[in-house]
Amino acid sequence: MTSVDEVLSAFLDGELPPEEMQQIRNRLAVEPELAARLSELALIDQTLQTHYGAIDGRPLPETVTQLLATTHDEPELPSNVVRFPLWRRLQAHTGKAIAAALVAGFALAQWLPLSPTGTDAAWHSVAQGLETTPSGVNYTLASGEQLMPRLTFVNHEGEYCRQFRLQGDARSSENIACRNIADTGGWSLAVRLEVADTVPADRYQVASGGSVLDDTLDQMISGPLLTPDAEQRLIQQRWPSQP
Amino acid sequence: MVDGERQVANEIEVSRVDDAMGRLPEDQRQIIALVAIQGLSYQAVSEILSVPKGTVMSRLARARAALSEALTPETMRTEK
Repeated sequence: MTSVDEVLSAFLDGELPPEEMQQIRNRLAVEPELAARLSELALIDQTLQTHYGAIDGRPLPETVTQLLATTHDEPELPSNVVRFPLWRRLQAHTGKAIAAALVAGFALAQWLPLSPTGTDAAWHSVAQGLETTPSGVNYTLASGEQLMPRLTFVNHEGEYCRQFRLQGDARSSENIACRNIADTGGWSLAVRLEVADTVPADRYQVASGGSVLDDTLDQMISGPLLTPDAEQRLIQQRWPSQP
Repeated sequence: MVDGERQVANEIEVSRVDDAMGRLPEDQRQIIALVAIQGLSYQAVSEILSVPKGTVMSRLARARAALSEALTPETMRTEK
């Protein structure tokens, strides 16, 4: 057990202060080892709820039942998806998180020393790329990785969200981040999918219907995708709060 | 897998979880049951058990880590 487990465990329960919750979300976006450990801990809760919930036959508290129902209603996802279906609830500090995720691709990952300062900087770089880069254009992060926004849309909460690809030397991922309305307008990770094999960026089309996150997009999106012109205006106007 | 096989597999799994829970110290088992199964908040558990919230947090994390060690296949574990 490490202090990292303690923080992740409290994150899982939505028991950290809002700013620490956000810090962890941001770190999860750039630290696959951390996401893998979170998945392991989340899996324990799922196992306990499955077995003891079924055995005693007593109804679970309404909050837990709702969360489980939310999970069951969602379509099946690849086993290496790290989802944060309840991130909105966590932000609001209500309810309990079940990060239903098992990250098969991380089995051989090294448990790297954690560097909060470095991680904050890494996410800041990602956020900067999302803030300024049109879809289909590569943006080089401070780490040397390539970020390419794929598309922009508005979610059911009225926030702007962007799907983007992160491409490093050894791994890549598909992600969706949304721009918070409530606070200072930062970008927060909503979904992350590790792509096991390195896939050339040109194998995907911008705004493609064939992306691995399409099911998730279908659930999040409200209205049509933003056109390139609309997206360009948002970038120039620095993402005004009302879509 | 036929129904009978599935039932046996389920029973084995339940037994495995029971064993892992049984090996936890009582104070950790109590807390993980209240939080992870019953869905209580740290504050509520803290009041029920008359322990500080920080203690709830640390015991819960130790319990999850121990169960992860016991229930996660070795090949699937994140190296620490």
